[in-house]
Amino acid sequence: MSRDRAELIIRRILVALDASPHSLAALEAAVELASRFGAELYGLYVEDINLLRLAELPFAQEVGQFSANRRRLDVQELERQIRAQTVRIRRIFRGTSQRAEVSWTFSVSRGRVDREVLAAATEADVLVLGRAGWSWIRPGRAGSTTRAVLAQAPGWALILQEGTCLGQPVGVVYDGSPLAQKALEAAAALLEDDGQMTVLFLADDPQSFESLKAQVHAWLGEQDIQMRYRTLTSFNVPSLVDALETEGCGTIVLPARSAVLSDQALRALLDEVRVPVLLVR
Amino acid sequence: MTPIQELEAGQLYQHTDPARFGFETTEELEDLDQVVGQPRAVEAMKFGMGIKARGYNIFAVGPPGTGKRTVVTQYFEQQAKEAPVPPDWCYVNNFEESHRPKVIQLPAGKGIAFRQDMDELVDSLGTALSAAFESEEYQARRQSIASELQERQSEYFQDLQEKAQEKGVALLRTPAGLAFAPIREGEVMSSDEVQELPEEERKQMESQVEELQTELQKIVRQVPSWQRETQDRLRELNREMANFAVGGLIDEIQERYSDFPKIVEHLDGVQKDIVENARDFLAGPQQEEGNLPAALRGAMSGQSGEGGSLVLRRYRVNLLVDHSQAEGAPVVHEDNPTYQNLVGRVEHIAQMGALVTDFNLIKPGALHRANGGFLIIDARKILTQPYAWEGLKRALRSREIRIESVGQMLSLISTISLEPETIPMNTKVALLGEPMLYYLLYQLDPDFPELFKVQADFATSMDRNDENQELYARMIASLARREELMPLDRTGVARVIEHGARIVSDTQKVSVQMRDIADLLREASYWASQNGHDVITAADVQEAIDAQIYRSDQLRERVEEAIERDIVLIDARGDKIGQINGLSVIQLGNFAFGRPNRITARAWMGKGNVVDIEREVELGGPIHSKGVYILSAFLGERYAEEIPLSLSASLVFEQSYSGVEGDSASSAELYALLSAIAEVPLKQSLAVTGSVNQHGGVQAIGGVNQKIEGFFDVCRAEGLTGDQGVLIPASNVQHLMLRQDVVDAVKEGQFHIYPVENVDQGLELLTGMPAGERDEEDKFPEGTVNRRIEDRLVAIAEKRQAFAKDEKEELG
Repeated sequence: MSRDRAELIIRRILVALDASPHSLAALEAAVELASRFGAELYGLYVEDINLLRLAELPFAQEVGQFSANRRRLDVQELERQIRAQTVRIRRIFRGTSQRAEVSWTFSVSRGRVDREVLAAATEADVLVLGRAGWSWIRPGRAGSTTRAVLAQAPGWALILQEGTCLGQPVGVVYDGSPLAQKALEAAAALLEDDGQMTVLFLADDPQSFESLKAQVHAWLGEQDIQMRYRTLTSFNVPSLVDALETEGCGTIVLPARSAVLSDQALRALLDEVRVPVLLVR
Repeated sequence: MTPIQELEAGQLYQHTDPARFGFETTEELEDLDQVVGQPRAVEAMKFGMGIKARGYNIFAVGPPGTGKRTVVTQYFEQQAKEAPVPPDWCYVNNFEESHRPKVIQLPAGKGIAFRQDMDELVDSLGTALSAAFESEEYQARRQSIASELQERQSEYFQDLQEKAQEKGVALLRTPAGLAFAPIREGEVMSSDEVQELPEEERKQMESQVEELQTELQKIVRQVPSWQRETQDRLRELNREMANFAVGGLIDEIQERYSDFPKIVEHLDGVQKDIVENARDFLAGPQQEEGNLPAALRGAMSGQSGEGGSLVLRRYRVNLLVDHSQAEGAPVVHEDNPTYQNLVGRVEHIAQMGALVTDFNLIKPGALHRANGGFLIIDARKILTQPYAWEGLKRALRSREIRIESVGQMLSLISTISLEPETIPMNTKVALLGEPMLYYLLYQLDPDFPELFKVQADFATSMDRNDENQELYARMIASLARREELMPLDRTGVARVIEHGARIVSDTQKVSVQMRDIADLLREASYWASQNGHDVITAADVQEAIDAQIYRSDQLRERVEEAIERDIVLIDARGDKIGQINGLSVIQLGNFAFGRPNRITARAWMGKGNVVDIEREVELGGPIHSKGVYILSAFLGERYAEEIPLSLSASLVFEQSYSGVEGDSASSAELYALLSAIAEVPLKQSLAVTGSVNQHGGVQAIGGVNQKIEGFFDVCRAEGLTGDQGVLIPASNVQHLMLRQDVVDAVKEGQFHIYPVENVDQGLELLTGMPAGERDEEDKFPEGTVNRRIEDRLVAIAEKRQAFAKDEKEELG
């Protein structure tokens, strides 16, 4: 299904796992990517040091997520629960990877979640992670850990939300920057056979639109890809989200830094879009 | 005494003269549309069909083969043709109580249309509902309801989180829940750091965490109720969409059936049910039928070919009785009247070891099919089927059909079953049965006279007068045509009529047992074709009769052979004292034949009793014993009025090993006894039949033709001597329909048949002596049989008196 593209080499994919439904969606997508690129899959579970510290506090208590009962948070009890969670996640990870016949490694570390994930991400080409550690957060909104990791992730990052997977058509935001060129490559790699690529040009006047289009055409060259173009003249988040939704994109590829979109706008965009987003650096 | 006149050949067989018929062959005759020889039964049928009151059902009584079924069917069909077509009946689901399906009555032919309409509705339901539920409107509204919940939740959490952040506290997720932790520089404070805090600050922090936890608890507790609220709103939305989607479809059908309030009501139920369950059957088989286990549902939806998936089955219509093709009222013959075939049944399907059912599996019985018309059942069959008779009576009494399994009726089993609504019944029932069954039922079943008030009594014979013979000829003609047999020429018809008389053994009557006549015609037609004839002639009919006899007379032949070979001792010539040839009839199926029996008597001095050896060894039946008692009474009255009867005698049927019944041999026994007393020999060339009364009169017996022929055959085998013959009661002369060879022998003087009125006539014939009548001195004249008898009795009485005196003296 994938095109052979020498420019795009992805060897290692890191997926950060917790027990949340979001991270399970991330796992599925990571496995798909790994099998598509023939990459090695790294699973990482971080035992949150903050939780263990909290448990040492004399007044630490937890509130049951469903029962709403208040319980004393005990270090040993917490250790046991974390161990059980690790075992469960390892089993799911192994099962999913083996089914897809992807070569895999699973490791567990202890520390601050964002730091551990970032440390592991330095050795990976793509980092895949769920949007948040729990589901009561507003839909689309990224969790604090995810935000922190995204802000500092060294390579590409793919963010997923509960119930989604890498879908078609693939939308890509193009502003003419070198990163945007890379985003085009990434989007092409995510295309399925007969899949369509939708390019959103950020251009405030017809001339720049023509020049952006020409760039894309040049990039396209002889490639047989079904293309669709759309121009956005105002670069605010709501209009961008609206454009992506009306185009019905199943996956979105974004350059991590854009000449025309501020970092803040990019982050806000992440909060609003529900489909998987691949940030390209 | 008048000397007895032997019968002439002409008196032995009443011919039907073929020349009296005005046709050549039966081809020329018109079909007969009336029933011959059953005026009483026909009257009863007309009455029974005409009267509408309750309980006037018909019982056709008559021996097998009298045409009960034909007559009843014919009259029912005539009446049914003019009767209105009864309504159609459907069962539909009861949405309130699904185990009690509802019944709907529709004019004939409308049932099938209703079923079609509902099938179409069911077929279009899927499309209509999925269109509604896949519409943008629905999706958008559903999304909005769902996200409202999520937004509400996240709003509360967001607030809480922000509140916590302000206080330097973070909300963390633990594997099992949520917890608040004090934060310093983005990390949870360690216990040492907390310990180092000033007392007051620490307390404040703890109370802040406490406060936040309480608030968190409050929020978490509210979540289920928010979810419920959302569910309710989603359900309401589903209902609204489904109502909109199916409302139009259902309104359309409701309008079509607006004259039938029950259908309108049912359709309301259907709409309500569809709306309640709309999402279920859009979601596919795994969510169907909430109250059945999943595996069961899968299996059922797989098999239920006729009704589609299980959910949709309940909107279908089970058209129980369909009269769309009917003209007039139905006439139903139930040949296998089991309980379930009568009242209908509820079938079950075995699923995963359990039996399940629904209203679609209700099957009609004969009572349903015959409702509004006529039902014909064989009485013997229904009485031999367990509970069938009770079931029929209950339906007739209550005038409604209730479908219940036998198990349910007896409260034996309680598998899940249905109690379908009852259907009002208005059916005229005719039972067909033998007289014995009718009288037994009348006597033993108190319900029977209430429910079967009309007795249609079928006769076995009719008068053999001119008019009837014409009718008989036409009946033979229609029978031959209906059965596609060859036509008969007039000699054939005459021969069939004669045989009809022979069947009932009566010159004045002719049989109306149509089965026998039809068999004879079929067989005669076969022989006619074998003989290369175009029409059935008298010879063909005769051949058929002879062949019938030949096929069944092996035993007769054995008996005759045994006599010929002197294994069974019969004398047909010479004279013997105390020995006579009696005649008996053996009945084998529908074939009967006569044979002579040697009867002997012995007399000796005794106390005046006649010993019937047959009775002593219990080989004699009660009627036979009665005959023997009568003859001893005759003996005492005639000869021993004034002297004690001091004689004992014994009577026996020689070489009889299987029992004797009937009194037709009592005259023969009397002759043998008198011969033994008088010591006068009897002619063995004569055989005797006839019963005797206390005055010595000889009375009619049955089977006279067979008896005469039986003796004739034995005589002929030994060679006819010219003086052989049979004594028959004079009153049996009217029953003579003898075989042609017997008639011919009589004509040639080779064989003789004497009609006897009293014992004295018989005595004279058998002894060749005058019998003698009492003169003025109350004495029989010398040289008569009676005188010899009396003298012998007086002599024995005196001897006995002398004995008694001697005994007394010896004792004294």
